[in-house]
Amino acid sequence: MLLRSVLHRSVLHRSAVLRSALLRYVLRRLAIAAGLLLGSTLVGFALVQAVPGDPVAANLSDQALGDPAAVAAFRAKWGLDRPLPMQYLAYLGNLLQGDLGTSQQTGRPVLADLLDHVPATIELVLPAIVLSVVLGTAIGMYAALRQGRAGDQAVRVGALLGLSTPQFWLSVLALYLFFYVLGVSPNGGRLSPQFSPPPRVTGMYSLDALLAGQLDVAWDAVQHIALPVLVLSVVTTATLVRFVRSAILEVLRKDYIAAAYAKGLPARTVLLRHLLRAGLVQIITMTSLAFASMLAGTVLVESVFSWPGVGEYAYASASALDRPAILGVCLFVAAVYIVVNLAVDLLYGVADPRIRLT
Amino acid sequence: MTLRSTTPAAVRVLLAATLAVAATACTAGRNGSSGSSTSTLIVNTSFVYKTLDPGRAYEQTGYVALHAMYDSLLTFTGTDVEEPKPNLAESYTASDDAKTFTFTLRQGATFADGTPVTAEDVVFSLNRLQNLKGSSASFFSGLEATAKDARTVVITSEEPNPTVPVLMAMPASGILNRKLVTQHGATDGEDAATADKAQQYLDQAAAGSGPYVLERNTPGSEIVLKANDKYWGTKPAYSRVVIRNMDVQNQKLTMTRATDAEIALDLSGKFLDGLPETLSISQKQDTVYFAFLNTDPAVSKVSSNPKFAQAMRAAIDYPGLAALFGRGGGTARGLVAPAYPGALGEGEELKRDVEKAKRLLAEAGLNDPSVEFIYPAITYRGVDLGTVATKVQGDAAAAGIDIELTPLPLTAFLERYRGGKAPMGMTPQSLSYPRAESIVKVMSPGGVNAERMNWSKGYGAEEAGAAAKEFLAATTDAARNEAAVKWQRAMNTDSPYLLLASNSGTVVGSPAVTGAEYTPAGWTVDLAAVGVKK
Amino acid sequence: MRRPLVLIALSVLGAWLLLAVLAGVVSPYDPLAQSADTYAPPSAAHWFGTDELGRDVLSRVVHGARLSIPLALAVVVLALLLGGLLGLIAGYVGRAVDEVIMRLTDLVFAFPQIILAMAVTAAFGPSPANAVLALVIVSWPVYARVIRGAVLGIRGENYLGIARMLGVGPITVLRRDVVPNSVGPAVVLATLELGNAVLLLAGLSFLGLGPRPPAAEWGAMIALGAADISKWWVSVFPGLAILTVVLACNILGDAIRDRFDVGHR
Repeated sequence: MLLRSVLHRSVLHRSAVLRSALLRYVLRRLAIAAGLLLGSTLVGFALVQAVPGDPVAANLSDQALGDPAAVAAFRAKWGLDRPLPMQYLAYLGNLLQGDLGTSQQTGRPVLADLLDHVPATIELVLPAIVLSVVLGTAIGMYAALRQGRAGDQAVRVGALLGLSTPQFWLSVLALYLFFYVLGVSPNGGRLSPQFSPPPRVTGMYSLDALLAGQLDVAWDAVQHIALPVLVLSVVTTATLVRFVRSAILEVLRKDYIAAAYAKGLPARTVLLRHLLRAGLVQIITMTSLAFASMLAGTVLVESVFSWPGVGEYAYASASALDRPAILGVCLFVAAVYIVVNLAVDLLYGVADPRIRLT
Repeated sequence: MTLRSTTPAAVRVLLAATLAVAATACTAGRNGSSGSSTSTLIVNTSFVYKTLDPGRAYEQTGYVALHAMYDSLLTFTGTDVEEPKPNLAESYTASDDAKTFTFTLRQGATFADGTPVTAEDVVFSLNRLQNLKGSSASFFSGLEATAKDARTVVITSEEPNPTVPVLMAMPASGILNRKLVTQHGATDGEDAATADKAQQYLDQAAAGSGPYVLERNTPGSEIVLKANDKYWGTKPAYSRVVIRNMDVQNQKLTMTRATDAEIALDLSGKFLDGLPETLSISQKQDTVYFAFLNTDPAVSKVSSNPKFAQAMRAAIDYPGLAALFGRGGGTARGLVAPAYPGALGEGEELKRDVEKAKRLLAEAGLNDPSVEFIYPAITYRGVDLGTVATKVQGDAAAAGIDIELTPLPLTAFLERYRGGKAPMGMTPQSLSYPRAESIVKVMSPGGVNAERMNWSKGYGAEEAGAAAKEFLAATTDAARNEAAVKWQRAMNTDSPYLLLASNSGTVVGSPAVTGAEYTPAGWTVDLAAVGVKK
Repeated sequence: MRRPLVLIALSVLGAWLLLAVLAGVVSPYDPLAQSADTYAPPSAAHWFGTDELGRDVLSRVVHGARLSIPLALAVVVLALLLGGLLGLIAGYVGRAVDEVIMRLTDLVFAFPQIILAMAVTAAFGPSPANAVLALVIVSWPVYARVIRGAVLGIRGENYLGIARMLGVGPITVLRRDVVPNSVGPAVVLATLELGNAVLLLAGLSFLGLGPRPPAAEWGAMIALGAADISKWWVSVFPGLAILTVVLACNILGDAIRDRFDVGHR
């Protein structure tokens, strides 16, 4: 309360100062993000250098290998005839033109592969995040308001249990139970065989099917999403529960909350108006970060549910030592994380002027 | 689940070049019924293919589809691979020296766009195949095709080659519509390897004369075929075929519940346990698993000792190993899998004798030998190669041999395997086409594969080499089969190759289908021969 | 919940440690011994059933502790040493060095742990040592940040400045003051991270990037079971093993954190 009024009063006088501070803050965050992106290309590039095998032999077919012109063209394109730093620059040059190289496994541009796999993962991650946020916030607040009582204890143990369960194991168990024993769930994959993918708009089958008015396809897609989404939600919900609980507890200790209660405001009003709002920024941050890490961290779950997402692509690339694909996935994942972080930082900066000054 | 990059065809590449067999739709023995007008057959398989260009393709999934879209001169029907049957060629003759083969084309056969199939198309397709220098081209080297007239094609071979008719049944030798594909950048010129630009077109459209044409090809997801209206032969029972990508685990689950017309191509071994009895299961033992040993003492003092190979051979529990493959597994007999002509007969199974193994090791002065054992970390035909390797390791341990397992990603495995420096390892192996020829060539002393083992003399090279020579000189299938038996016995006695087991390819059909038979010919199942159960 | 739960967690971890030490004595069978009795469901002879090669699942689960627990400990200790060292340097030297090290931690955080670990083991080849290496590479930044924070805290107290004024050399300051003062938070963090290390290791093994066969490793055992889910016992028991160890670590870590009130990340 106090803080806010102070800020209000000073806004007029300080707006010019703040604007330049904000600009400096935004520029600094942008510079850091750009630096990190560049750094991640370097890390990826260095990592791929450690992958065994000759890139020429791995990338070209036997017939092309027998053709000196083809080999020379390939070496020139990727700068393989030059020293490593120059190769890296050649890679960056190709990258700037949107050329991530060609996957050795699929024979397609890595970018095209990624564009196919990313929507599949988003289709899992989005509902999982929504579910986790709703459950996590509700359960977390419940536990915080009941701190120390039986309900809180149960939630804390449950959250710990969720955090401690290996996702891949849970996936196997879920398939065993819901598909093999009960027969109420499909067995992985994105659609039942009798359906063809709907016309591509977003690349997410359930959404595209709805857009195309194919209700049966949409329903089938949703059924395929359900089990992996549930499994994915367990860990994220558990994380959020713990986070929300401690965030709320922290806010509860603040003076203005006590003041609000003291003023005789109804508990629900205090809860919604003050508690949740105070914790909101942090919850959004946590959610964004969970979203970013889930986008690629789903590899184990995707692997069990034969879900052709980013994680599965990363895994297939890594196990086939498909260098351009490994590098492409690493860059993609890092880019998502960096951009989400940047967005969160900027949001923070706009929402809370104090941060800009640090 | 371990490294699920199931790559059957890539495994085939292990041997020299590689390839499976002919493409084509068969004319005989089809369950013709016209079926309902929109009936769909669903084919569940773990995808392995890069292209649907017959001249470039060499992987299992591609062959299944190609065989349904491209007819070749000859074909095999049902599960038989002994005798090539007429297809686009209604008959053929072979000269006594097995160097000249004359094919007479049938009348009335047309491509999917209505153009008649002529000798020109055949010559173009075979020339293109050779000049593309793709993975299967090497099997066709030394062959020359000429069109004598519109309906007669003469194929000559530099060497006596009784295998030519079999080669003419391979999916790679599928006949393309010359006019159509040249419009889309195809060429049969000597520079085809670089000048031919038709792959992109052929990945999205069929240019053959087979019972099906390509409706849609979505790599990694599905290949959809629809019946060819202009097909010259008996119409297939299903008007549409959806080949969809599915891993083995899910194939089992799907087939368990399948009520519609569905088949699964990768269920084998333990995945067949507990399937409903209403499903049809068709199997042929067409794959062998073998271990290889490097004969160069500089690579390994252990593996280069012929006595070590013999001790290993005596140490392995062959029936136990075969049991890992479930009902499709077979106890090791010879390097030619039982499904093929020239295989060793029943009663020639290899036997375990741990005492003998220990004795041999003692004679060789090898005390507690230890050797590295590489294998590709993949699941092949539903069996994790790690499990097979672990079984070999356990058996060897019982005889006092210490095997250190080194699983490798496929590409890394291939690199070490081809590099000739791996002391010991293991790989599955299928024939490129249903004749022993290719393995006799590459695994005998002087062959590509034998050179990786640094095997040229000693270590049984003389006997195996002589048998191989006899095989290659033979001008008839019968004579070759006899020589193949001799060669395998020599290889089982003294060579750096240890046969481990054989395994089957399997086709499982839902109760709604008939004629879902596994063929060791190369295309797994003849889609056009699958019928509707009445 | 604290007391009883912490006691249970302690005894569970203790039991696992004991099992790991006595694995050879307590397991009913040789974990590597194959038999013809394959895929036998749980019974009196094989409490947890047998796997595809007829190996006793119970014996393998027990022996799995010998692999998972020491490897996870190795990950945590090595990451603590590496991260701690870099954090010390960053906090003590400051300026450009600090900036570089902190940006490096940002970079590692930019990759999900499992993806980076996967790429590293793929590059170097699957083996226990490489799995540990991969996990150290992905987990050192957490320690680096915490230690750096601790060092900065000390600096803020003008502790070091006074020491310098008194003519004490930097190494001595580090050894005598900085290290002891930052060890506390690091140890709390390490306890919390132990469970995470067990999970990540099992995940890598599940993907075939951990110890080589025939090693009895929990993640790899689940992968074997996942190949045919109808044989539930092959994957259920090793999964329970992971769950109990990780849960115990997490309860313990939470308790220690609450006690010392140290933030995580």
